[in-house]
Amino acid sequence: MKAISFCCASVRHRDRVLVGPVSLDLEPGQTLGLRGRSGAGKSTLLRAMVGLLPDELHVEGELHVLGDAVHGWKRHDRRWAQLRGSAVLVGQTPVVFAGSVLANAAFGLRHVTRYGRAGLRKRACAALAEAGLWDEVADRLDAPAHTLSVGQRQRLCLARALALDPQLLLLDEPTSALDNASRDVVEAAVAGLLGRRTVVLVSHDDDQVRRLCDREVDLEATTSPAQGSGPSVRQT
Amino acid sequence: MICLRSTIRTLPLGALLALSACAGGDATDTLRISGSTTVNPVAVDAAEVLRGRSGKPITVDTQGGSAGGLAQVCGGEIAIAMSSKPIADSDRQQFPNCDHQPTKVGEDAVGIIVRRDVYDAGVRNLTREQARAIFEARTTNWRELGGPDLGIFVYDKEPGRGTREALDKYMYGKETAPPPPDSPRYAVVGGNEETRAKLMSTPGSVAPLSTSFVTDHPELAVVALDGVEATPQSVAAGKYPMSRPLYLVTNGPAAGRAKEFIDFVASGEGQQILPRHGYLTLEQLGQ
Amino acid sequence: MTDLLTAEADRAADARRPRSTPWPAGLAVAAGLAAALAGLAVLGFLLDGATSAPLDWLTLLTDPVWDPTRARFGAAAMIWGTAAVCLVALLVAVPLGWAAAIGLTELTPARTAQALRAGVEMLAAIPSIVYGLVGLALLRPLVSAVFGVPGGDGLLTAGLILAVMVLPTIVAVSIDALAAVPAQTREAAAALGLTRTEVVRAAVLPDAAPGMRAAVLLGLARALGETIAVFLVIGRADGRLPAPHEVFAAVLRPGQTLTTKIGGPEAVLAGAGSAHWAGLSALGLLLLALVVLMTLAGLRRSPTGSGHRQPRPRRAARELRDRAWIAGLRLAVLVPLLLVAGVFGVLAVRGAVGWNPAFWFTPAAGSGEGGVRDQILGTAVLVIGTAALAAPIGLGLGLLIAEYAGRRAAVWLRTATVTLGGVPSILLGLITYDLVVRTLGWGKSWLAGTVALAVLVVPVAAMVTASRIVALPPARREAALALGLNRTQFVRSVLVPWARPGLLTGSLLGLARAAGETAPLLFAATVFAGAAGLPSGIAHSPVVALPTHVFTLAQDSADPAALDAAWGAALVLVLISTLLLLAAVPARRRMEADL
Repeated sequence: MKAISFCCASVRHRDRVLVGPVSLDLEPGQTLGLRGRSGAGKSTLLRAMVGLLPDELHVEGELHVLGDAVHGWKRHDRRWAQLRGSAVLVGQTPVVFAGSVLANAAFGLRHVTRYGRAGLRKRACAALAEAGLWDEVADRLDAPAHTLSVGQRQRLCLARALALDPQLLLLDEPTSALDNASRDVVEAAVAGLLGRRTVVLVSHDDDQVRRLCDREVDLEATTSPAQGSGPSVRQT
Repeated sequence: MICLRSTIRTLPLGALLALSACAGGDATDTLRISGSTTVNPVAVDAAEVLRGRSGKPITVDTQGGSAGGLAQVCGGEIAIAMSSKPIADSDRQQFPNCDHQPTKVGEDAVGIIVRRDVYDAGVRNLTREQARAIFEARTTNWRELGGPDLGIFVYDKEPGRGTREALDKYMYGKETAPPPPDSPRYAVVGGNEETRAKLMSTPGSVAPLSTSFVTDHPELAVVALDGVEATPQSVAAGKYPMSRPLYLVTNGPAAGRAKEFIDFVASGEGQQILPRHGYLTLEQLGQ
Repeated sequence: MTDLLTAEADRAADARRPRSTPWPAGLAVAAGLAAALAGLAVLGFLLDGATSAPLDWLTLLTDPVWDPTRARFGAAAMIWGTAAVCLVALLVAVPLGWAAAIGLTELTPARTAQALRAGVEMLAAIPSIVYGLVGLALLRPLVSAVFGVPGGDGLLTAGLILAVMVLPTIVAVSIDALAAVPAQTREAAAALGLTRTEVVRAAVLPDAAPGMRAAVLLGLARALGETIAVFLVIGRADGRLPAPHEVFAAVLRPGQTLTTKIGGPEAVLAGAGSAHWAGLSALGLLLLALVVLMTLAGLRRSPTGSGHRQPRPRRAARELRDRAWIAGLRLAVLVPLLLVAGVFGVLAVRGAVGWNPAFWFTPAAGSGEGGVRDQILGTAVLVIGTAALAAPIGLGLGLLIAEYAGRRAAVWLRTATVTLGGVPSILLGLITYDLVVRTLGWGKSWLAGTVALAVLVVPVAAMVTASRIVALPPARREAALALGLNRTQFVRSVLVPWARPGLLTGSLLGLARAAGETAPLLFAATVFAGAAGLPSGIAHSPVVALPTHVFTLAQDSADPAALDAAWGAALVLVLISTLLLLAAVPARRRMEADL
């Protein structure tokens, strides 16, 4: 089973093509980088994979995620929630929920899985470690999450996703909202995941994509489909 | 936009100018009358006629009923108070600096009003004791009074209403009326119109109300009191126990437009208004 | 030396600058003073009244018997009545309002939600006298039939009418709280695999909870202060304090609230300085304290703790629960919409005479005869007078809050302004009656009514203006100041034009409410008959107005002609206040487009 499979998939606003068409397959364990200027539709494409597009946009073509033909699913199809538990998106700005650090790390787990209290804690702590945050928050697990620094919060969001043990991790510009110092820490955390997780990384930073990813798609070329050129795919 | 801007700027200024211009107006020419909702229809009609003749404004209001009018005429807020009750000692005590001068303009019978079904089933007469039992919520079913098996619902008038004083005077004479009963089937109403509306929408209800307000409403009926029907004859003869005089009251002797108004209502022409609303004229009373 | 040179240069620059009078600052200070004066007048008047004669506060709070003839002034029964009607109102309106707000923000597409929200807000545009009429003519018979209450007057009926009246407040404030939760929060939760309702419960509600609780308190403040609608259907029976075991039965019985007592005839009967007057003032003070408390508590948004102990259902159960919640919330959205449609439908049908132009242009004659020409004119006089008074003060106060005051002072001013806006209109009526009608000796006059109504409008106008000013993009301020404008010039040529749509919107919203106010007019400005639509002076110049006209006719609801005329006049009144609200729409659009 491919982790992701695009076949002439494009995101459209009514009849206007915003992104794509894109055709590519991603094997489990690989890391895919999506790059391009801001406005090229990187985040839009990422959201299309888990059904989080804004109301007015829709997908044309075929799009398979973790074996599901999601291009046929309606916006409020109940299968989306299940898929999102396995293909987890981490957004650009670090969003923390009301509650403690631990509650945030276990946020998804509590709803999607059936762990007891102890199991939740164990999994959440393991995820914090995987996201490279454990050493900094081990002594303040019950502190409100909003007291963390921005860089810490972004890694908390990563941990929250990792806690679900996702088969696919979708990272949307995980470092763009951060200052340089936090950026390096988060990037290191992401780098630590590579090889162990299947990851799609969106970034406007070409160097970052080159540093971290096995494969990359430049969406720049797709913004003007009238010229007839598809997106360039680099294979390494 | 420019227009809007200038409008916004000039609006307050214009308002001020308008205010100062108005302040010099002839507003104090207005003859202000307030008080009893029973006398109100008569005063409204009389005001209509006089306004047509002199062109000067007369306003009629009913805030607080008779007692409200008597209070406001002392405060100088109005020139004439309408009252459907005589000036009592308690009123004189409450307003020691006030010289209430009542002019009687007619007479009205307050009835104890029941609904037609209750009346037709046999409740046609009440004694003083039966009335007290009803309004003190000791009698709670019409069956006990020879009527249908139906709960009694009492509507009493707000304090200060002339109607309520007429009922209290009938039931308790000179004694002070007891506080309202703690009964679930008891509510309070204000003006005569409201009383009538609530009577007509509540099965088994009873209330004190000027008989003139039910003459055109066959759904309601006036019971006899101690065997005396509320007819013009019995009221004029002083036999009906719950009749009450209607007054126009001034603070000190009436003068100017207030006197004009009172004289008109007391005149032959003005007196013709009273029967239209179901009240007795001075002539009918032999006064 | 350099200092001297700079000063010299400044003076030269000032010489080139056109002279400008600093009217905005003057206006702001004057408006602040006027608002402070109004607030102090309310408080001072009630305190003065309550202390004008000896009064036993313990008796007032614990004794159920209110009997002026025996000089017994106990308010316990009225406090119970007030609590009971408010509780009934909240029990109905809070679950419904919250659910409708969630359904509208979380489950309805944005464009539809906006239209539906406007629909729900129409409920707020309906004056309380119209609710009173609906309660009197429709709800009383219903309660009477369903609960077997003779006549249908009682605490329950009053509570149900209040529930409809506070519903729009609860929905609107809750929607604001929900909308303030960033979309990213929802996305972050959804991205973790939560279902739609799980996203709402786990991610959105914890964030929105303080605002939604505030919605309840603000709704409660509104319920506490309402007079006219309650007055017509509560039965006004004094002295009813039920034993604990008969509380439920007692809700079906007639009772009295603080507002209906103050709105009754006793204010006119009680002589100034008497124990009776002191008792009434104490009731007013009690009411004011309750309303202010609720308003302040509603403004203070307490931080939330994390409540994260919920059972984890199985996958199938999860889906089922999601479906059930969505269906329930959708249904909840329907209820307020059906209420709006119902009230407007009833008005359109029962008020049929109001569609006839002749009804608008002929004067009233007797009970239920003729039209409402003079009442429309009178209402217009009151609305225009109120606008002329409230708009400049609202602008000044808005400037004071958002521009001139320091950060801490601004917080105080905001709180004080909202509190002033929460003062029940019946108290304003009572105060205007005593101060202007009685003490000043003006008698009832349109200007007295205008002053009372302006106190209602100014806080709304000021708050909307202030939010508008706060929303001025910093870049614009910077650009203007960079051109060398001094503060007065900046306020005049940047801030005031920018604030104008806010002022317009706020004033119109306030005026729509003022147009339908009844309680203060009864005391201060209108008479039963004989007043022309257009007043001839200031003192002793009462008018007739639509809301009080409906009030008078509604009391005669047994007379079909009077009832028809009441519905007709109510229709005209609702059309007028709806027009005022619609007039605010373009300005509001512009504000939304600017953001």
